[in-house]
Amino acid sequence: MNELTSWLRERSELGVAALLLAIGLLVLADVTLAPRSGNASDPLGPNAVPILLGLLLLLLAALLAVDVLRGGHGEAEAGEDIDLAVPADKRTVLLLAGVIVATAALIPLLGWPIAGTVLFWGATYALGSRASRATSSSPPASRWRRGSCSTRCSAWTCPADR
Amino acid sequence: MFENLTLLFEGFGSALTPANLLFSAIGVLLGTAIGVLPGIGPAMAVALLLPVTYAFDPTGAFILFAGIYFGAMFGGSTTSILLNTPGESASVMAAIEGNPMARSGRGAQALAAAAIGHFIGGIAGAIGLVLLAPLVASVAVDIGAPDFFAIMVLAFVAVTGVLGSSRVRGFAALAIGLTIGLVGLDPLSGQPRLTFGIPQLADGIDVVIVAVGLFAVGEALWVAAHLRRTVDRPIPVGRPWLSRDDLRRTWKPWLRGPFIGFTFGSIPAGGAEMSTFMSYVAERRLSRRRDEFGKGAIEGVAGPEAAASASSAGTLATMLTLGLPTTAIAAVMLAAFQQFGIQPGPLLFENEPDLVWTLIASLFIGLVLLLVLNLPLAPVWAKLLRIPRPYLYAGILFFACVGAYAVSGQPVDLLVLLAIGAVGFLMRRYGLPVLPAIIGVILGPDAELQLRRALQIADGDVTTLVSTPLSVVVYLVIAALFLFPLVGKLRQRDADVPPPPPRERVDV
Repeated sequence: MNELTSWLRERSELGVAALLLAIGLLVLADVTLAPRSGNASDPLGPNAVPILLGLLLLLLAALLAVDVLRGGHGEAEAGEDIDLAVPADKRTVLLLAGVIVATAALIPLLGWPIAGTVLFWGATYALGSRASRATSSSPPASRWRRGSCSTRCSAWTCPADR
Repeated sequence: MFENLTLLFEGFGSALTPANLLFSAIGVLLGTAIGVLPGIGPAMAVALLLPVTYAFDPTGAFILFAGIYFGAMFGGSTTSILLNTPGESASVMAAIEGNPMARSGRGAQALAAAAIGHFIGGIAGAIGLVLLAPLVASVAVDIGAPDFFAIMVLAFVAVTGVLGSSRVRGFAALAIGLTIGLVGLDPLSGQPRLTFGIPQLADGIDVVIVAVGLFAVGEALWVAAHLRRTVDRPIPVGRPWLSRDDLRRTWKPWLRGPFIGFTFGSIPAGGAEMSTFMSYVAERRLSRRRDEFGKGAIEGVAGPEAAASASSAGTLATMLTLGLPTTAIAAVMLAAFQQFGIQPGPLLFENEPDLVWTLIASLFIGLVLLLVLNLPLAPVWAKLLRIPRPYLYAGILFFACVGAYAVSGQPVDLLVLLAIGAVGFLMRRYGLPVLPAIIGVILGPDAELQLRRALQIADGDVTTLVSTPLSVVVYLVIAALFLFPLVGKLRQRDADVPPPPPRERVDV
């Protein structure tokens, strides 16, 4: 059981393939269960493109699944304020999502000005709430230079290296 | 030609009115700030401003957007030189050469080489736009639905296939975008598609919500998950200046960069990232001090930075003349055009000459303002980096929600925004590029319309799609784009030397 979960965790990208599969099936279901009626002056009609797109999505889901099973990895996006070395902070993300949902719920009750204030301060709280708030400042690290590119530009191949 | 010059002078006339001058000034100020700030890029900024600018006239709005676009280029190089964290993906090269310069006490020279490079590149690019865009537009006036469809397919394939490290993921992103674009009423038959009986979906998902969700909310959530808790301090430098020896080394790169930049900016092949990369490679090859590269060669700052600004002008040229976005910000600007009911493309120069020429004239004015703002004040701008990150990203989320709510006034749209933000988060987590998705959303419905229109005109004869010389050429280019990496792969197997593909990083 544990083996299976760790196997799945390493290949969580299969979820993306599953998502593509689901979207593809949704698109195909929408168009085949109740085909839209075309007319004579529109030879292609309103159904052709959704059908093609649905099939494309299924194909991509399959290709992506094969890629992941063969050991392919999508590279997480790097950025200036992003430290991929730390594990994903799910709590902050869920808090932020909660703040947005709360705002949507509060707008009809309290109006936009108050709901917007709640949104801003709620988001600030969520973003600043982590316990391990480091205050030390690292030296201007040579993140974009040779040798230390592991996290930030591994696929980039620094031109400095050539 | 002379006619165009007259039009350009008229454009200067209306660009210099107090209102438009103000838009330009606000645009370049905002743009520089956005370029300096991490986490927020020009495409996200324009997306966030879309709802606000509904209240303006289109000319003012596009002057503002152009100012942001060029300003972000200037600001981006400041952070990469002083902090080694490129504010924009286009300024990676400036970080590679400029930051070592700053650390060895030549930061002032690096800043000056970058700012003047941006100015020269921008001016050269704008001149290219003046000379070439009307020409392209006048040729393109005759192209029909089959050609437009072919060009759009080229855009889809080029932004997905050429750049990303993984094609499957690029096309997956494109397909997600196309699906989002499909939601709503079919424009030709008026029947709802993918709306599942939900009345709010009948108008489709507003492109503002999609753009803000993918760029702003997706980015903010992604950063929130991996927020860097240590903050780098920028290297303090004095006022930017150049010695005579520096000038001798930089003037050629300044002049070479724009040619590379404009060319790569105008084709759907990577925008500013590719331009700066190619310029860097060229300067390195041409330099007599090749050993200095990687340790702080001023040529490596001057050339790529000039190329970056020129590529923005090239991107604008393609967007205005063909209605084809080659970068994320061009895609969002195209959405803005659509919101104003203006169709960019060959007819734009005929239908909206005032708007086009005022916009082009404002580029020149904006670039002068940017040089004045950035050359003496670059170290001051760097102070913006001290902003506490929780406030920065909370502010981005706040403005994203304001924008989404302003579109329709329905709180439900915030939930749609969050859902699309979640898609943006997943895309960043699993390496699906954002650019193909947004291009799919914006161009997808248009491409379907052109395809069906072409078949309508030809009475359902599929061969009409390859009936014009232009469409045949475009499909050949698409085939080449598909085959080229395969050839590379085969060769790689033989030689075992992996060609380093520049990794796509989308400005958000």
